Amino acid sequence: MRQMEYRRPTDVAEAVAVVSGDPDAAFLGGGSNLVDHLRLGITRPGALVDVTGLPMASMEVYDDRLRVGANVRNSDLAAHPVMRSRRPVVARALLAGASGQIRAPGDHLRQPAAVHPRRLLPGRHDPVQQARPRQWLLGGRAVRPVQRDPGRLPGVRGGATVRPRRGPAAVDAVVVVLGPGGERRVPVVDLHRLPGDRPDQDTVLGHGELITAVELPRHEVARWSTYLDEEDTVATPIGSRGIGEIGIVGTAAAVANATYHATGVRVRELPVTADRFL
Amino acid sequence: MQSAFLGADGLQCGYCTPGQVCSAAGMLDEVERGHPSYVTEDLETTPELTDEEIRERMSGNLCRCGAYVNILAAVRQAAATTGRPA
Repeated sequence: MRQMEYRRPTDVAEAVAVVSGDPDAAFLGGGSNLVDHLRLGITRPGALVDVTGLPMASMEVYDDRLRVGANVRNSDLAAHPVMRSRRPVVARALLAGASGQIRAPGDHLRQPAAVHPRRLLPGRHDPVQQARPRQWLLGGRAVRPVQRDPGRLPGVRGGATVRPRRGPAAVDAVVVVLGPGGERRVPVVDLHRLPGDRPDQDTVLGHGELITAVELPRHEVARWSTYLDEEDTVATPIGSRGIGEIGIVGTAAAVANATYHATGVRVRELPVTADRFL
Repeated sequence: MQSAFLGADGLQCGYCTPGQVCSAAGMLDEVERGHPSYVTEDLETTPELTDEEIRERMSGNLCRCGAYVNILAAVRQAAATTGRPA
């Protein structure tokens, strides 16, 4: 078993300093992305810096923008009065994204990363998959503004109609990043990158850079928009969604057992390919 | 909540019951704090605890025995007993 150091700083600057100063360290949030990468051997950090205890769970309201801390939980964000009145599109998307049992511990920033293709199919980067990280996903589903008659949708008054633009474009969100060189802001549309020649890099963030908040600038259209729960035929041509990940865990084990039964060779690593039996 | 589950017969095999009870307690707490749900019509009002709201808010917990009808009754009963908004 590979040994890993675990640290749980209480200060944001300290967390950034620790990871920046150690090329072998990685930030640990909820772990749904990182733990998958550990299992697949995509990443092997020597130290994990837990950011879940950092003081980034506040929501601040300014005249020109809302600032949502990176550790704000989905449930709390969807329930916040300002989100409900000024950004119903975000609140609705969060409420549609998962059951309350998942929203309560889920944080709004890290869930998007969990759908990155690197986790789904390592090494395979077809155009359909490449399209995915460009979406900003709230609670696991793409957000798009109202396209049809918004007057008839629950909880929506007024009549703004906008073209369906995906993701962060819907609310023009900006990600606040703290790194060794200080703070910078990245429009959320520019956060994720295409795999290209560096499929190991999900985002434009450098080593040691930590997302501390998302800012939502003043946005009159978002104020009158809501979220439509529609089939997404762009991310996958048939509009499928990832609902079977847990249920399919046993399948690989069953197949591995079957190959052992048939050949007498026990393969303990995935994928179970022919060369592993020789 | 535990007595309400017993009283309303909100279980068959009991496997999912601890999770159902925890979810129900947490969910009622969220309702008390005014959290909306996917089925809340108007985000700017305080949601009421209708049967539809209970079903939606408990939707993350599955019961393979299908005791949902009695689970609903148990949650409703517990909410009424503790004086939560109904």
